[in-house]
Amino acid sequence: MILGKPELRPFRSKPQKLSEWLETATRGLVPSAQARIHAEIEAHFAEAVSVRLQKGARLAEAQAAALADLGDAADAARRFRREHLTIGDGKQVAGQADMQISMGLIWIVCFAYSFFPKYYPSPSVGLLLILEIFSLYLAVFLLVWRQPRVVTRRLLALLVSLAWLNVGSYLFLNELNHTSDRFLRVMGWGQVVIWVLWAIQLTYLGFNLRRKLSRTGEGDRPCGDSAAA
Amino acid sequence: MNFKGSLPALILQTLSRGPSHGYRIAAEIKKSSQGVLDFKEGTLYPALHGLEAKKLISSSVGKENGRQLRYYKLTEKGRKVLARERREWVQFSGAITGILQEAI
Repeated sequence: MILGKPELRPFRSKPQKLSEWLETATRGLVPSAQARIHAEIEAHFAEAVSVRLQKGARLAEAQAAALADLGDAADAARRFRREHLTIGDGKQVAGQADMQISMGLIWIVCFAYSFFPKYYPSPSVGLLLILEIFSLYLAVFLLVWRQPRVVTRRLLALLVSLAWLNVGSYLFLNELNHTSDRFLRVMGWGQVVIWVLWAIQLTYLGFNLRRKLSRTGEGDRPCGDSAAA
Repeated sequence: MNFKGSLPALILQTLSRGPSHGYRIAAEIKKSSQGVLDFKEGTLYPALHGLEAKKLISSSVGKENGRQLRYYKLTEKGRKVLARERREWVQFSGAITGILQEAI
């Protein structure tokens, strides 16, 4: 940027080579989707060029015509992004995992202190409890994420979440009657609200991603043959 | 001619004749319509992938003339959807033809 003036975007001309067309059409897609599309379009292009060469066209003409027949790379990119998992989608999934960890950490603190609602533990006991429950959470989390199938992972994650929610609700909402426990009560309700919001967000993301993930199994296996699935 | 939205049905119809790869599907659609239905071939693949997502077609990789190609095949679900699309199209086009002929 010079003296506050917006920087001019570089002029993007039409792709002159197949590699440029492919780069535009598959930009932002996950590598497995890119690899599949590259292979298919390259084979298509080779076939189109070969047919034109047989009809007597020169190589340069045949290549230019075959490229023109592919059409607008940006339009193809928009369509591919509707059908395939993008890097952005991947980040959303990763974001969900991060969020689950964060929620788990908050839970751990509340859960640990809930063991001693009337007698707040000393910092050392509290820390011990936190570490203990963190280990348990981590073990469950790893067990869930090591599942090879997306469906199993999600089902287990949902079950674990529900279990945490139930345990927490019981401890925070039913057992705390003393006025000094107001803080924990608020924390408990806060957690319930956070979990409900998380569930809504996860459901929304799930609907968005389910079709893409189940497509060629981009979540499970790269470039899979759906005929063999 | 613009045939927005009809490409999936045309692909299913082409595949009802047997498994085929992308280039051949495009060529057959153009040939069957005697050049009336022309489309950019780059849009064929997202349509194919969409149909595969809906499990109306399946795909596998094979070799032809030393080239690795992805072959698409109509599934049972795809066959049913194609039959329904055909019925709906006959109904729809019959109704439009009736109205247009009346106007002439």
